[in-house]
Amino acid sequence: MFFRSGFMLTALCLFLSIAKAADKDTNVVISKASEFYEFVFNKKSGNVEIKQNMSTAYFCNSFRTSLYVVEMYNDQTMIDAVDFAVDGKKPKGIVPAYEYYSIDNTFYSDAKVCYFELPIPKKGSTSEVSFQKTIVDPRYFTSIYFAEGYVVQEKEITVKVPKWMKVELKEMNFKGYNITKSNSYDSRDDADVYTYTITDAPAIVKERHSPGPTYIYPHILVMAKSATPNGNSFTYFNTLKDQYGWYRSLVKDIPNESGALKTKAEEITKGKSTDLDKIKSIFYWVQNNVRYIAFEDGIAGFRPEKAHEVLRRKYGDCKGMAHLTKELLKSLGYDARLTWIGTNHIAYDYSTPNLSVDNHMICALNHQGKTYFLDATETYIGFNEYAERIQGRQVLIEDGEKYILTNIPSTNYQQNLDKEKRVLNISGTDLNGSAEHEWKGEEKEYILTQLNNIKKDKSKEAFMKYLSENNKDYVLTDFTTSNLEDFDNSITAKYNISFRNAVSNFGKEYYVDLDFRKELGSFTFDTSERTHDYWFDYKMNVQRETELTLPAGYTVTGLPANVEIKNSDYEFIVQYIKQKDKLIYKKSLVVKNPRLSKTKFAQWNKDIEKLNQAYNEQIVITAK
Amino acid sequence: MKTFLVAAICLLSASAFAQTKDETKYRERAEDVRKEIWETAGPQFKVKAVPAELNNESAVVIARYFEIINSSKFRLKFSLFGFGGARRLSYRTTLHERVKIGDKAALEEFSSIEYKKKLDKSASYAFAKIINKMETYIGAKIVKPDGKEIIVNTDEEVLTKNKSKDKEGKLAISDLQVGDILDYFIRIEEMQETGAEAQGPYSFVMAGEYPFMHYQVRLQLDDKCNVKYITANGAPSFRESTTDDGDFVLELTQKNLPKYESSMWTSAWRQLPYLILTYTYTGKKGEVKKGFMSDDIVKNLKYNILPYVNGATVSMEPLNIVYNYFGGKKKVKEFPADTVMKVLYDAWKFSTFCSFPTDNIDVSNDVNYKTAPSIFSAVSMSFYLRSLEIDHDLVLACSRYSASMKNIMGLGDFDGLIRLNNGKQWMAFDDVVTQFNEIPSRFQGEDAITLHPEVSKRTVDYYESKTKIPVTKDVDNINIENINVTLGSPNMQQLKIDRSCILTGALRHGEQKRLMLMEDMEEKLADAVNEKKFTDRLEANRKAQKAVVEFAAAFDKERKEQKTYFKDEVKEQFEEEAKDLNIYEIKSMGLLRGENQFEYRSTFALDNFVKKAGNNFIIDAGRLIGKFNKVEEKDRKRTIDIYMTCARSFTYNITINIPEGYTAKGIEELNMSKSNETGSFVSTASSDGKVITISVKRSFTKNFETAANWNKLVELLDVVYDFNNKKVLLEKKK
Repeated sequence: MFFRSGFMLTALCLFLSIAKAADKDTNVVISKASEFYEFVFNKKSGNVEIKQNMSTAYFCNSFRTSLYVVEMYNDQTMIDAVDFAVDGKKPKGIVPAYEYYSIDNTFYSDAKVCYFELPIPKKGSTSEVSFQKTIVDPRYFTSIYFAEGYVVQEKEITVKVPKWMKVELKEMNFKGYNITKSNSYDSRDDADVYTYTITDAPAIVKERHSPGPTYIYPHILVMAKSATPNGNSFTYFNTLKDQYGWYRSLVKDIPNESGALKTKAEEITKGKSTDLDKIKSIFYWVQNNVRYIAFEDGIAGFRPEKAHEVLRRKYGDCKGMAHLTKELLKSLGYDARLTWIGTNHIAYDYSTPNLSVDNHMICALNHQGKTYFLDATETYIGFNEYAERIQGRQVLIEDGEKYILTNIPSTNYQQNLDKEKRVLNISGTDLNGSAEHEWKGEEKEYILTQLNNIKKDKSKEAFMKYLSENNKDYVLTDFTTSNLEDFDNSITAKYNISFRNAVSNFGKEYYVDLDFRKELGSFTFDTSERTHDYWFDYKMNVQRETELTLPAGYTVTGLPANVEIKNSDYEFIVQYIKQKDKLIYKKSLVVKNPRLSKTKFAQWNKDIEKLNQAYNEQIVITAK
Repeated sequence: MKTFLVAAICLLSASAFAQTKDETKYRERAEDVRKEIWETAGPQFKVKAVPAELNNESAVVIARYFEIINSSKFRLKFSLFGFGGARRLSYRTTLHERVKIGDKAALEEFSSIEYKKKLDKSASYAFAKIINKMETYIGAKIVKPDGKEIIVNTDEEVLTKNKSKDKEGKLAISDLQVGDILDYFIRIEEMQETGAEAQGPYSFVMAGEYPFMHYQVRLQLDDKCNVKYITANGAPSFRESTTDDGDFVLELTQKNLPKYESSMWTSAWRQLPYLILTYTYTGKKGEVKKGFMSDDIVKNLKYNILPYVNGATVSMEPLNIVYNYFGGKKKVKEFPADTVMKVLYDAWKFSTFCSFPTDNIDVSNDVNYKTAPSIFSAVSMSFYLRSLEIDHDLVLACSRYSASMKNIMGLGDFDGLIRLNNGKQWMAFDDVVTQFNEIPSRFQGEDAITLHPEVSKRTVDYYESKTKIPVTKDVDNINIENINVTLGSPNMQQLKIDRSCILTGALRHGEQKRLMLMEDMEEKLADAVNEKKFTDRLEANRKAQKAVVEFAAAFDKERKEQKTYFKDEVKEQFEEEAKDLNIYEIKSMGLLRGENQFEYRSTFALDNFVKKAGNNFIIDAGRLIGKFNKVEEKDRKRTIDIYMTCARSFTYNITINIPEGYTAKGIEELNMSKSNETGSFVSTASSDGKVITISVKRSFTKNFETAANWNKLVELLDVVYDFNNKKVLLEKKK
């Protein structure tokens, strides 16, 4: 879903290196590493560049092995030289390969990778690698990370800033790491020299559902502001206005064929009378008809494709889809604008102007005093519903030569809903009855995404399997759904159930388990293994209700205790309500704060244990 | 300086000019190809509608046309060494497909094309240039539901590799939507002068991921090619003809081919109709040969490979180990062949699996999964046995999960085994845990070719015969689990389990490789053949000595991982995380002759097997044998035969200790029985008030059943599923 950002290459470098390293393995460690950055003025090109010298020494602690050295580059960050040595000698036969780098979910990018396998031939060996790189524009020099795919014993980062260069180096996530800093002045080059040294830094650990690297790893956010070398004057992102100005320069003159766009917009909205209906139909049409294909190619990674081209191609990246949404709406006279945003993968906001602040583009629509945000890359989300990844995020909305800085609304868990109501009765050892489901918000989006990824001849079967949790005894019949093409409303499903052998019958007693799904029952954290916070995909809102009609002549003699766990992050409520000839089972599982801090894992585990205890209790029904 | 500069500019210009010229040539050719393919396509590529019964398909292949045209010509080339003839072969391969896009899943599938656009590996030698290059041309058009055709602009491609002689491209198909028809082609044109490599094999399966309305293959191959093809499992044959200038033409046209539906216990190579073809340019008048090829393959092995097997072409290590074991080459003859051959087999295993590269240490669990090349190993073993004057047969067989013997195309489709003592004993060359006289289940029951070496003074002749590989019975492939269960205290909802498993035959291998450490296996195998273990061998080697401590560290690291392998095994069996896994041990490695069974034990706790109900507890006793799936309604009818791994039997001896103050109820429900010709399931349960004893025995009689017996297998699968759901009540005494 991302467009090209300064964040991209850094993040790729980080995760590529850990892809080949075992995070908790200390057989290989980085004994010493250094990264030296210097701003220089390239008289030939007339631009300020950054010369980067990196060297890394890998030390073998236990047994001989080899490692894959990978270094990313692209059109803005070039590799000038690479060198390597094993125990001080250059090994023969190693030829670095330079290849296009295929990124998941990205159709094409200019990211490339230089890689080679480097031996570490015995215990006590040191293999060294060095790269010299050039970043051709200070705007693309966005951050410097300390952590690596291996444990780092010592790493020195030096940034040499000539007096003619204005740059802010912002220290991020230093807390908890051994980082020292010293400054000096290089009188020969009239430059300030900032030196940071980290010691004993743990290796990067890749875990699913973790916060993005900008939240967790120590790094320096580099904010190039301006430069005056050799009498020249350059302004980079001195203020947000400059960053906006740069973005604006890339989007303001894109030639669009307004006629074709207007014709299409009118065709899409034909028969719609209200403004909101027209707006929604445009949004839903783009969602449904334009395939998301990510391109991150040089400056094209920042400049949206022409709207009529996206319309013709029926595919585009986030910028293209936002641009088409905007232009279709604009052609009908609505106030739609391009909007830059950093998803929740990024820790920063626009208070630190830098290309790594954002990674996504959407469309903002001002209508009758309200701003709506339209993100057509979220293929199955409804109008005015917001995906977790953009909720509450700061956005930069185009406004001619100015810009508007605001935030996307933070919706609460009630935007999302996964609801099931069942009415059951006991027949022998079976439970029979009916069920109704409703899904809203991101729960709806999740279901529709899964269903549309499945071939349509298998889709209904897959949906039924999902609802029966693939339990062959949970037989669904007369299965119907609401219109699954309609993203504007919640989606629903109805069916009859025959749950065979669901009831255990011992003598005069029936034992019934009324919870069929047991969500989160095994969802605990191994606190000795998990390193990072856990971020849910979205705020969870599961509501279940089962009404059981008691067999004539029977009464409930054993009922599990209710559960009520409530705190600021989540609520788990399990409730049994006894009525005359019925028993109502209600369950509510709500995750209000999808960012579960690791400091709360222990409590979470205890609460899940309580929930699981409830799951592992059954009701007892006895003949009167 | 100036001169150089001018020269450099000239060179640059020439290069730029050449590039442009190349590009122009490519574009012109691309246009010709487009015209040729779209203008000469058959009427099936004009179809715009699919039958109503295919409307719910994700995609329908309205037409597929696959074509290879291979032609040759000669030209004189000047080389440094004089005039010589060089063959220039052109290979032209076309895939043309017309697909109706039925949903978003198909839209995603067909929305982009990736291709190697150009590869030029031509090389210059002095004045001669050896051509070896290929180029790919693509084209796509979209037919909208209203019939409007839109040609996709292939200039919208992106190049993911863009070197002058090596280009790779990707094209996202513009304007493609659900409901459209995509008509696209990929044409690969190759030119080679470097020799006549065998082309293919090309497989044509008479079923696909999507239904086909029209399927056509046309191969036009130079008459100086040798063409070999096979039709398998009831597939139709090619129509054979020749062109006016003598080229071979093979054609196949099929209509309304179904999509392939997967189901359990199948062998695709034995069940799906397919054709497979290879061809080789020989430079002289060739032929088209259809059908049985194993005779030629065996002949080639006998006369072109086996005569060259000797001490210089195979490793002598296993033989030397045998000589050392018995006290010298001459001494070996004093021992019975029966003894020698067993030591030899272990020596081969030791030699094959128990040495590890010393430049880059990897003794992780991955090394347990190494397999031996069976033909090479069997041929080598035949040489060792001949050297030891032990009578034997070299056996060639095919896996039950690959092409059958009548459908093989080359020696690589065969596997090799050794038969000894007139078929009483066997050697197979597979994984590190395979034992002497153990035949991997995938060969069992297969027809095989035997080659009996007759050694004369100077030569070895091989006498060919046929045999059938023996099949093991259910008693040979055993899984016995002894499971002792206690309810936790104070948390009675947690089961404490002490479980010992004994595995034999084909059922051993997976768990042996998952749970055992190579360090232990290597040591055991070394001991069996009187060799030193690996680190001791390194110690004795002055050059490698330094690696000893490193291997020790690597082995130690892997030993620490062993607990996770046991945890994984529990999770796979019970579908619950193993908690408190305290004891985990291999009790019998099952690695060598005389130690047939693999036995391991672990103790652990499991949640979610006990439900509380008032004061009572309900135990999911049926799940203690592992989780089984019910056969779905749609799978209850079957028309294709059933390929199972092997005949096999499972025994579960479960004891559940009844907690003080509780009475067990519902035990009688665990008594179930079902037997038929395909196998049986018998469970019995009883209690003495202190312990519930459950015994479950289930078996499958054969490794293969006809489709007609599917209902009988389903009966057995149903009963185990029913047992799976049985529960026991522990009722609080009043």
